[in-house]
Amino acid sequence: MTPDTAAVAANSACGSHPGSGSGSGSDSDAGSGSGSAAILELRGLTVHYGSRAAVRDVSLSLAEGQTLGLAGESGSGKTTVGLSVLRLLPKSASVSGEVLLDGQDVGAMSWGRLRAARWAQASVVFQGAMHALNPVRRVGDQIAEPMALHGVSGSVAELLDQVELPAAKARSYPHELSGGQKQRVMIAMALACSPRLIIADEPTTALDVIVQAQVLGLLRRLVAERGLSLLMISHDLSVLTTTCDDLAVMHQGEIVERGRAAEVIASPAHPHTAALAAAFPTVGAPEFRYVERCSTLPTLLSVEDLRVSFGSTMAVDGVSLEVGRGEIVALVGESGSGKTTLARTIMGLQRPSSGRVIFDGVPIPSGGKALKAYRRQVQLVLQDPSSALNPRHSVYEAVAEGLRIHGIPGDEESLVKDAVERSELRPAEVYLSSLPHELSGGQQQRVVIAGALALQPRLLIADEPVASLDASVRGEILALLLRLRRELELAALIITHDLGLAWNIADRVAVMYQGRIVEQGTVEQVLLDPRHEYTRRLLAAVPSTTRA
Amino acid sequence: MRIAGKLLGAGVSLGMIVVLGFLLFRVIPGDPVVSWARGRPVTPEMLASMRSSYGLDKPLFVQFLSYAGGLLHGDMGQSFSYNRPVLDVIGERVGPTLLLVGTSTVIAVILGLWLGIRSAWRRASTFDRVSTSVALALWSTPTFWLGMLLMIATGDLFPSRGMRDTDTAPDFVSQSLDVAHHLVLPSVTFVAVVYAQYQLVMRSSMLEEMHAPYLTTARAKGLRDDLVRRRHAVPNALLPAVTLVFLHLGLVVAGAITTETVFTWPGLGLLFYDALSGLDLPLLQGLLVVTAGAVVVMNLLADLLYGVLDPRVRAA
Repeated sequence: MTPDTAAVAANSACGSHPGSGSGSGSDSDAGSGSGSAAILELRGLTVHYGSRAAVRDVSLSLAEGQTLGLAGESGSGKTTVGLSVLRLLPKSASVSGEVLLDGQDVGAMSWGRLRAARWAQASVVFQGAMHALNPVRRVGDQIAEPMALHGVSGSVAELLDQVELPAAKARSYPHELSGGQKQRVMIAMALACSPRLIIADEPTTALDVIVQAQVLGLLRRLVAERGLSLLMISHDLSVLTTTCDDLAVMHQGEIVERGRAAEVIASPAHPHTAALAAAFPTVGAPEFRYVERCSTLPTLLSVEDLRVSFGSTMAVDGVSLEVGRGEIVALVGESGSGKTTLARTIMGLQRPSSGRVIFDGVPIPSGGKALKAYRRQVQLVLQDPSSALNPRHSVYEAVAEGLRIHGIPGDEESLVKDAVERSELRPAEVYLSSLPHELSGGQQQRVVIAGALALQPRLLIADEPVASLDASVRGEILALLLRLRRELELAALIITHDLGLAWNIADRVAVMYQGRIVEQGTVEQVLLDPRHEYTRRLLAAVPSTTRA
Repeated sequence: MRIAGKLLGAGVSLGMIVVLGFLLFRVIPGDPVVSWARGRPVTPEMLASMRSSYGLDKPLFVQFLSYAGGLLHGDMGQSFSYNRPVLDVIGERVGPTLLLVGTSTVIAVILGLWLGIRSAWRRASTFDRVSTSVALALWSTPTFWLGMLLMIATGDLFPSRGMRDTDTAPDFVSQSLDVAHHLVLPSVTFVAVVYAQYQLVMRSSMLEEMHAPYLTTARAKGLRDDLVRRRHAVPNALLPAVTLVFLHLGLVVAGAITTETVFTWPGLGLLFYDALSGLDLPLLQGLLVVTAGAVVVMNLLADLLYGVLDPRVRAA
């Protein structure tokens, strides 16, 4: 409950001066606002979808040149707030409260006035890596579209130059660009009509760390150079703190905390802020290190000089790697580094061009029953549990499927229950008949893990196991993995681009770059004292909450 | 490279059609010679000599080889019932079918896509409900029944048999007007029955695109609603519809069988019907190769066009 508290703008003194009034008549609201320079002001914004309140009584204000980060988990209402600024919410949303853009109530605007305000007064940087760009139109045309619409002069080449892309990229289609390039195109598009406010909604999610750092750097530079106001929405506190001066944290539709970014991070007042912050651990900080033991363990899996080539491209180029019994090894690298191909080869889903994989002293079989038996011992946990689970299979079916495929003897029901309880869905009976959509993301991931556990594996290969989970759930899943290792001596190879995750729970880290492992060793060795240039670049690119 | 692969695939399909077409009509119960001779005074000797003159007494394999060999030289054999080369018989029926099917399909595609786009954009509106129900009802109506209803309902307004009257003046204008006049009923029947699938496919693929993030981007830019739809949603939603339209263009040649039979339209459909009732094997085989070939060619065209419309396919 924050009824019109002092807006964030009040206590922030930002770089650029509240200069122009832009000529649009904003005098009518000047009295009640926190300052006449407020470029965006929300007053008691409440948004309902049916009877469900997605946003409850949110008030905030953004001054000229101010940068504000809006943090929250999925479903916290942060995106709804962002979309309401340009009245982009779906028809099913009912909005109350006021959204003042440059002093004018967006909700009261006529359609014509609204269309004129869109993109010209405020533009949005959507998550370009996803489908925010039209897949069948050239990006240059898409950048030029709002300019033609609003009668603004300017050149696409110049805009592309601003975001450090060659002008020739204007002729590309979105699928021909990398994730980082698409995001740059989105930013160029947002600048097309020189708006004074930019709303960035998860602008770097799904990008590799190094690319993310570049895109954030670009955004920071443009905002500072042009004196823009920025409302940046993200689930990632560390991304927000590196870009924004102020921070507001949303939880279940309400703003639970706000203030200067550095202060909020340093001493979070609300437990939810603390949970969010914990999801983006600081590499090197002892409080984020959840494992202590690191004795040498007998080898379980050993990969010897493995090479996998697709045609002329070497996806995996001479990789050697070991995982001990009950050991957690993090395989770190950006997308395209070959880590997924390596994992597939270890699972026997991809035949190596040369080299071999030895599991428990025996080279992995190339086919038949022996391969099936091997696969039972090595189980896979994927990134997105909602797509890894068949939406029509109940929890029981999902977990029992593996048992049936492998013809595991014993009472199926008790085996399933056992596995479900081991992954901390207790009591199991409550969950067995549930369908995936009735469960939360964290519960779904537990079901995936239960499906793996039912087969009593000895090695878990987890591909970004917590990347799609909310901050508050992340810690619980990590604790589960650690407990399984302790109780079942279950080893894990965790594939991730998240160095913080490696620091959280791994014993050893292997850094993969362009098909090779460029560095491996204990977590402390690799992350605190990196030897290879690439590891250093990776570490430098990780946005840190303590930097501010 | 991609095109070469597609062409190869199309070639393989055509080869299989030739084999299948040959076998299919030979497993149909009935003896073509007997069915031809029905009602005529014939002796068993005459039947036997007919069989040997058509080559029907030879082993199946030999028959196939001579048939396939002829095909390679563009010879589809001799029609039993017309006593003329199959290719000639088919050739003179292609025009009327193309006229009927072509006109109707163009109308049906335009109508269906337009209705589909509109009904998806205003989902659950009265327009959506009514137009979708009407389309479904018409789609599930038997063609011959609808055709007959239309004949009765329009009375003497439009001719209901054939493609032209014998007493029309021979000049081009009056001939064209006469054909157009004859075309109305079969064409309306045909459109009514087929447009629903274009509408439904377009509607569902529009609905899939309705929540695409790039539409939010387009709205955020300040585009008018109809521009968002025309410029951004439709080009994407059109992609799955294109495949269906082209696939169907191939199928309609055969699909016109009922319409042509009801209105005695002298096209391939009617020819198919006659050949089937007379068990005219060479003609049936020829018709199958031509109609199935049309499907393969149209499918190939759809693939190629898809590449033009969707840059992602072009790159693959």
